[in-house]
Parts: sequence; C-alpha cells; structure tokens
Amino acid sequence: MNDFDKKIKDSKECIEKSNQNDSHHIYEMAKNKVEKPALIKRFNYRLVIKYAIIVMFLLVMFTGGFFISKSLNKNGNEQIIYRNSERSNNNQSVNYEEVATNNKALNFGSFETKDDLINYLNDNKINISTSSLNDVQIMSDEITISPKADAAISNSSSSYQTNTQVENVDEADIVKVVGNHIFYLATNVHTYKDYARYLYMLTENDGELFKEKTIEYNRTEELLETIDNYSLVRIVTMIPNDLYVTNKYVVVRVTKTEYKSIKQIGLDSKTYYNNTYDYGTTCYFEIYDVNDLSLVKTIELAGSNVSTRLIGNSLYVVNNYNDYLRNNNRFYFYPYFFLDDVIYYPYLNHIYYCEDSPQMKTYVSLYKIILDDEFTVQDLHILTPTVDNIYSSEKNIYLIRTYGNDVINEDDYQLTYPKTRVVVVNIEGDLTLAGNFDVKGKINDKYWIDEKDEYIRVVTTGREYRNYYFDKKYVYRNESTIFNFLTIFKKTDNGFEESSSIEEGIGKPGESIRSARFNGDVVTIVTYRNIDPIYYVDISNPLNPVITSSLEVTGYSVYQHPYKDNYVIGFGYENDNASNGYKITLFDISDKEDIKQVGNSAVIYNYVPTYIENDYKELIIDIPQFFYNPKALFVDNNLGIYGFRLQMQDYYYEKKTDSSGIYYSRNLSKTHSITKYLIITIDENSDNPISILELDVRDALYRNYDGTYSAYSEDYYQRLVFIGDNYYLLSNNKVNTFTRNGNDFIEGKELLLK
Amino acid sequence: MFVLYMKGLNMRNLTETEFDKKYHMYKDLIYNIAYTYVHNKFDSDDITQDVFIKYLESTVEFNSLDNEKYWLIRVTINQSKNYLSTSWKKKTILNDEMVERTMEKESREKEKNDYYRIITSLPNKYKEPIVLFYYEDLKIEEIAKVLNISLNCAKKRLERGRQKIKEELNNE
Repeated sequence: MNDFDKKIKDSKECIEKSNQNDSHHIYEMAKNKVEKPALIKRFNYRLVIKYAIIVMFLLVMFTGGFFISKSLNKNGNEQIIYRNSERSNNNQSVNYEEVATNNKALNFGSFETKDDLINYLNDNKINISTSSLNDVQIMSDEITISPKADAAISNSSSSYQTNTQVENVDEADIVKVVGNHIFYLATNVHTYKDYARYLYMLTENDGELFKEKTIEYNRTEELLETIDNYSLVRIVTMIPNDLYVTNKYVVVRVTKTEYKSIKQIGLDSKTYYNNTYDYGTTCYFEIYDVNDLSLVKTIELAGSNVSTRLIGNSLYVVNNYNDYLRNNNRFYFYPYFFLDDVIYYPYLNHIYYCEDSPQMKTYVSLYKIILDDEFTVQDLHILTPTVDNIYSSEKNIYLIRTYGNDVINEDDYQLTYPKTRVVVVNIEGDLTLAGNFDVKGKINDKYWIDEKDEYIRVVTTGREYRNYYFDKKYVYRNESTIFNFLTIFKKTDNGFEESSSIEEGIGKPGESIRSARFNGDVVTIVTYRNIDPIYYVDISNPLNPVITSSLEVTGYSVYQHPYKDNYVIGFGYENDNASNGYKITLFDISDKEDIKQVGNSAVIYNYVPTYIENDYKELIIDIPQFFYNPKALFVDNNLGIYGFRLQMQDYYYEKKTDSSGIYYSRNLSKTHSITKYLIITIDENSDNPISILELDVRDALYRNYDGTYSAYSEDYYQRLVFIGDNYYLLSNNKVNTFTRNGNDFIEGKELLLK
Repeated sequence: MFVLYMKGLNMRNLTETEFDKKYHMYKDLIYNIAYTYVHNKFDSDDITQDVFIKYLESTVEFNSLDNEKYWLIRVTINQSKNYLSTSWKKKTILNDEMVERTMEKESREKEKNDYYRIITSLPNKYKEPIVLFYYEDLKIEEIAKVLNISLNCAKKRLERGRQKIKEELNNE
C-alpha cells in the first residue's frame, strides 16, 4: 500500500469511539414493537363488505369444482383444448400416486391439490392472492408419456465438433457443422443502435464456401397509441444466443425480451425511449428445417435459461422461473410454455419440492423436447433455490446450486461454510426425479462433477470461517481456512449415499482448487496459491480414492484437456516472480505414482512494455475466451490440433511535461487492438512439446458510435471449424479459408458475410 | 387490510444470545459508516440502534454472512441519508444537549485530520466506495454488490474518489 493509500486508511482514526455496548435494550425495543403492533387507525367497513361479496361471487362461479385446460390464442381468441396422455411403450402407465410415493422416498414432496401448492408457497412467505388462481389449468391427470429418444446422431469425425464435456451429449454453441454445411450465429456485433444479428447457412463445395441463406434477427417496434408527440410502442428484441443442429432441424435459442416504452421525438430530432411496464424475458426456440432454414416451429418457455443439452434428438432445457413473485396475473403463477401460439401449463403432479431445502421460491423447470414431427414436450418443475449450473451425462441431468452457509455452534466457536445441493433427474425415458445430495463446498464449474456407472464423483472447494467467542459473547478472534474435497456418491434405490471422500491432502494450506478433469478412473486436480500442485487421484475404486502423486509447477491451470490416453494438457496462467502470462503445459499421467511434466511449457507473456525513444508502448493481452468458455477452444483430438483466439491492446504513451513534472499520456490515435488466431500442436516426444503457430493476425479497430465504444469488434475471430482438410476461420463479417497440409495451413479465399 | 394488521408481528427468529453475537459482529461496521455521514457519536449511536432494530424486524433471509453484511451496510447508508434529511434536524432547537453537541463538534473540527475531512465531504457516490474500501476493507466486487452497481462502475468511482482527494489536498 503506498503512502497516499495508507493515509486514507489511517484517517479512520478520526472516528470517535462509540460508548454503546449493550444489545439487550435494542432487542427489548424490537420485541416491544412486535408484541404491540400499531393499530389500524380506521376500520374500513366498506372494504370488508366489498371483499366478502367478491369471495362469495367467486365461490358460486366455481362450485363446479373441476379444472379445465385452457389455451389462449395470442391474438385473444380463446380455445379450449385438453392435454392428452398416452401410454408408454412398455405399456406401464405411471399414475400420480405411484409418482408421489416414489418421490417422497427420495426426499421430494408433491402436491395433491392446488390448495396444497398455494399453502406451501404462502408458508414460504410468498404472498399470492388466491383469487387470481381459480381458472388456471392445473391437472391431476396421468402424466404425458413420450416415446424414447432416438439413438444419438453422431457427426462424421471428418468435420468439426464442439468441444463438449461428455461424449454424445452435445452443448449449444454459436457454430455447428453437419455434413458440408456450417450453421453460424454472428452475434457479437453490438452497439446501442444496431441490434441486428445473423444466422448464416454456409455450404462447402470442393473446398470453397458459399453463403446459402441468411436470417436476420432484429428489434421490432409496434405502434400502439399516439398522444401529441408521444407514442406508446411495444418493443420486442430477439437476440440469438446459440444453436444445435440435428439431421432434421436447426434449433436456435433466442432471448426474447418484450416491453412497452414511451417514445418521444425531441427538439433535437433525437428519439428518446422511456421504458415502462410489462417487461418480460423468456427462453425462446426457433426450429428451422436443416435443408432450407424454413421456420418449422417456435417454442417459448417461461423463465431465464440456465443451460441446455442435446442427446440424440432430445433437447433438454433448464430454466429458472420466478416471474410470479412480481406479477399476480394468473398467467404467470405457474411456469408456462407456448408451442407456436398455444399455451400450456404444467400438470400438478409435475411440480415437486425438496423436503429439507431452504428458501424455495423459484421454479427450476426441466423440459425435454423431442425434435421429431410432433415435438412432444415433457416437463418437470422443482421448487428450490435458483440453479447455478448443470452437468449432464447421457442418463441424468444434475442441477447444481451452491447455497447458504451451514452454521454449527460449538461451545467456543461458530463455524460456517458454503454447501452445494445437487438435484438429479433421470432422463433416459420420462423425466424422473432420481434424488438429491448435499456436498460441502462449491462446485465451480461443470467439469468438477462426473458420473461413472452408479457413482457420482464431485470435487469442491470453499472457505470455512471460525469465530471464537470470549465469554460466549464477544468475538475476539476469527480465522478462516480453505478446504478441498473429493466426494464420491453412490446411486441407490432411495437416492444417493456418500460412498467415500478425500478431505485432506488436496492442496497445501491456503490453496484452493482451480481446475479438475475426470478421465475414467483418474481425476487430475490443480490447486493454487503461489505454486500449482497438480494432483493425480486414483478413483478406480470408488470406495477408496487415493492421491497417488503430485507435481509442483509455477502458475496454475484453469482448464485441463485430455490428450490421447496418457496425457493432460493444462491451459492456464504462468505466475512466478519474474514473469506473468498464459501457459500451456503437457502432463504425462501414464504412471499414477509419478505424474510428470513433458518438456517445457509454452508461455505467452501477457504484458510486454517497449520503449521507443521518449515514448513507450504496452502490449496487454486479454484473458483468452476459452478460459471461461471451453467451447471456444478448437479441438481435433484425432490430429492433436488445438486453436484459440487472442485479443490484445497495443497502448501508446507519449512523454509529456507540465508544471507538476513529467507524465505519460495515452495517444488514442496510435493505440490499436490486434486479434490473432493461434494453432497449437503437440509432440509428446519433444523437449518443447507445445508448438504455437499464428494462423491469422489482423488489426481489430474499436468502433465508436455516438461517443460510446462497441463491446466487440466485427473483426475478432469467433471460431475455427473444419470440413475434411478445409479449415474455416469465422469472424462476424467474413470467413477466411485455409487448407491443411500436415501442420501447415495454406490460406485460401475469403468469404464476406455482409 | 388483513395484511396491514398483521404487519409488525414478525420478528427475526433469533434468541437474545444469538442477536448479541450479531450485534458485536457488526456494530463497529455500522457505527463507522454512520459516523462518516453524521460526524458525531450521538447520532451515529442512534443510527446504529435503528439499523439493528430494522434487522430484527426484517424477515429477509440471507444466503450467507456476506449477504447479511451487505444488507446491513445498505440499510446503514440509507438510514444515514434519511437521518440527514429529516426535518427536525433542520429546526433550530436550543437546548443543553444540542449546545453541547455543537461545541464538541466545533472543537473537533480544529483537530480533524485533513484526509478524513475531505473524504467525508465528498459526494456520496465517491465517499461510499472510499469508506467501504479503505475503512472497512471490502473488496471491489463486494462494494459493487453492496452499492448495486457494476464492477467497472465501482472501480471508476473509487478511482475518481481518490483523484478528488488528491485535488482537494493540492488546493489547500
């Protein structure tokens, strides 16, 4: 801390000390206020009579006592439809009672009547007017059974695939390749005026790429009413986020935001918007025919999206939904979805709660959408705290939520630490709750959890706090320690049981887990504080996991990628006292007793100052995108080729002098951004196993719109894909083509996208 | 109407012993922040008391100790601002207590550290990050959460606050 900062900090001593040290009178004051609440000044007889009349009227109207399913055409014409249930393929119907019993054994409860649900929500301090719910369609009918998903659709290995965590479980991304077609979302052009995004269908023919079709996503504005020079407009923005491609369809996930705004043309001819009410955001899917991008279906799901997966032709969507907390309109009380213009609400027996989970105020909704001709939708909703992340195997989806602290009061200290709850849903046939388990610590990304057979392996980290009390009253000391765990759970008929764990030995004191990667019977774990031990943990026996070896290196890995059978590539940071940068290291894990580094690491220094006469330049490289989004890493495991983009700023400072002395001022006209795409190749037999090739380099200029900076440049590379030996480097405005010959890439034609 | 009548019947589910622990855990934090607004210990004690009463009356549930702390800081800031704008403070009431407070305030002015004086006279949007960062050792990320602003905004305000302190020092 420099002198100036120290003086600021020391100035705190000017604060006079308080004389107050007695909490008792505060407690008594609060207690007195509670026991003697303020009386209502006036008893409103008219209001009481009014409510009584309304309640009696509603009771008369609904003494029929049955619930009907109601669909509301978006244009306002009402249609009544009934949700039909179908028998499953194995002719075993699963009725409501069976489902409820099974789930109660697994620590989940369900609701027999709508009143049970309403009372439950009210007990959790949610104030919902009962009168708003009478005509909401909730059924206690047989649940809809849909046919089993088709076998997984696999791409040819001679074309690009997204870098996913689990084989056969696809994850959405901005580009997908099927056959000789590339489907690409150019989503990163963003200014406050230009809302356009594009879906491109590009076709490869004999190495050359053609733009076959383009779909533009834009912001629409509909005039509702005009008064003087004010207009009430309805604004809808559609921002495509990512996509999947199957043999039949292209599925684009869109964030659709709809709201009303008052528009005014000012004296300066500028347009001003005052956003008002009816703000709503939903998770929206547009489904196109893969052959010609004609729109086939739209599906709109209530809530904000957490994540999606595609397994075979089944699309799984996880949303958090809590709009009903802010809106008593009956349409918002339950998670709803639209298939085209028809609205659906859940069956009552599709809604569950965790019996011992705190703060249940959000619907976590899991949808399974079969991408066939009928687009059957299954749904399951759990009242639980919002989900942070998910992990998916081919059989189960794991809903992950880190919540609260567990507080344990011991005699002389109070212990708190974070916990994570994981709710498991089986997805092999119908969506079925499989159970839940709690684990101490946080699961910081999806790679920290892995399923193998009936075992779930979980890596967590966290900080534990202890407050020590003097005389059980005053905190005189507090301390915290970091913990790192590996825990293995086993799936049983009654849910999940802890099978084994490692609670000591992962990381030195003060080190927390930075990355982990499961690979069959081994997990490699990297911890960090000053140096980076990477641990080899043998998990071949789930009842007895063992740390068999470790290796200390400088810096740490944030992402680990398996390479061939016996290697792991660590991508992360270099951090010793001499230098800082990004580092790529190859680790040999063939011998569990001796994990080794292969040769030298490759380091890209992220801060390079250069002096030019009296001026100087600073080259600063941003954190690579794939560090926090592994799907941005180009991976070809067959050939051992990897790729990613780097963005850097070359700042130029001029030396200047004024009355206060010499200082350096940034010269904006000489400062520019550069983007590079790097190709990494591995040779495990070399002393320098990591080779880096610059595939392409270009200046990427910031664009100013009305004095503001754009978030991204159109020139930045987004993804590298390939079809056969032809490689395509995609940015928002063009595609550069390369042909690979061994480890050489020969530049070809350029395709302009706009 | 029914809901209004029920108001005030909820109190946080804490025993007096448990509340005492919370009180000692947070009282210095709340008092110090309040003091940077009102500049005297009497009013700071009042605000501290009000904040804890609000805490006991509130039924907000906290996911973690951190969230609890952030909530208390926000309430303290709001209470301090409300305190400064309430009408009775603007009236000129001459009584012994008031005269005593004023005299103490005047004598303290002479001794007050320049840095402290400048910090507490900054506009709130710069003062708050400075006080939270330097006096209460909050990280930038925590400051952003407490003040409900973006991380970049928190960094900019902190930096701008430091610049303003330097400018004021140079002007003296």
